[in-house]
Amino acid sequence: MLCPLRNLIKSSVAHKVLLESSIKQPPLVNSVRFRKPRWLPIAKSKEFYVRKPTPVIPEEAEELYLRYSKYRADVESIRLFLKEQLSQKSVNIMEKQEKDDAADLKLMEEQVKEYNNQVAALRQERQNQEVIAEQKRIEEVMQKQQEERLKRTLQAEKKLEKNKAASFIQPEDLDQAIEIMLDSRSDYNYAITNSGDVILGEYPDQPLDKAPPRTKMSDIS
Amino acid sequence: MPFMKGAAPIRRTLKYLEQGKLVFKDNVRIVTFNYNNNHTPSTGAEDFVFWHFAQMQYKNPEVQMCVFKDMTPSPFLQVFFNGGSKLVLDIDSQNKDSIFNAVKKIFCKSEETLEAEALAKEKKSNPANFGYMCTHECICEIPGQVPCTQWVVPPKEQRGKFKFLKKDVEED
Repeated sequence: MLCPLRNLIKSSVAHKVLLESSIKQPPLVNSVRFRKPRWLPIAKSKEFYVRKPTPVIPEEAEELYLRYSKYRADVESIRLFLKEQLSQKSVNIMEKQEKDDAADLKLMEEQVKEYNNQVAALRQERQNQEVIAEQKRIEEVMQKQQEERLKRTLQAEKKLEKNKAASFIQPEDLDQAIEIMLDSRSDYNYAITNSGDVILGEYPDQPLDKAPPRTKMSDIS
Repeated sequence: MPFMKGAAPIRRTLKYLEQGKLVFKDNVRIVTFNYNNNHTPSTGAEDFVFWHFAQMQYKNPEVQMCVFKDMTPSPFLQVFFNGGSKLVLDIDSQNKDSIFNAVKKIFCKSEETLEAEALAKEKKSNPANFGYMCTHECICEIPGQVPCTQWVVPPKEQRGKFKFLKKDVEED
């Protein structure tokens, strides 16, 4: 069923207000169906309209004034009383809400604690295991390193033994070795050519029989 | 599914979001998830966030929800309340379903509360109201009321012209 009111509502300002406000809970607003534009002159039928003054009976008016004053005072006092009661009520509601919240929070805290205790046991167990595993790993690594070190020392000792007989000075030969060293003199002022020939310095003290034999380039090929 | 983007795009569908069952209590304001990547005890937390985060946020648009990764050795979730107080829930090595049940039991509104709220919401949309966004647009649509004046001319006694202005109405 088409309703002319609906069509008019859609074009009015109030509709736009309703659209912009929340769709969930729209306010119920009565829109004005028609309002004469202010620039239009007064209608001919209403131009010279004069209203009849309201009939006032003086005694009645006086009596009414007194009665109305009293009535309005009573109504206003009741209104203020109810207003105070309402504000008190809202404060009570807020307090109650806070108390409820606190109780709720306490309950939640207990439940959380209970759940956490269960989980904490598992977590602690896992973390302990992890610590033990880590310790084990470190120990293994240390062990390996130690073994490696031991192997290296043995190898070094073997090499030492091999060289010992050849060139090391034994304690018995110590005096003789010292004598030799004191008597001898080395001259390092020499050059070696590409072909391997040794060129001695300006003042060679002794022939270089102490120097190790060098492979001459002419020997290769 | 349109725009099947990302992993498990079903999580982005409206139907899936509306099936979320975790509606937090009114005093819950912030929920924070902490878990680690590639961390066996965090897998439950990771799955929970993967499947249920969108649902939770959809059902609780006023709650701030954050996810922090790789910040602490073990996973947990924190809930901050109205007064500033907070609670920490340990979810180390827990299953996604176990976490779901725990959160539902502790921090969310119960089924009864949700049902009561849904009922109250229905009642608020009063079928007796008429106007914009109501069941009836005009009072003339409601049975038992004065019919629409577009279709039926009302009797003289109900017309303002006759009643207030005392004009004699000529039948047109």
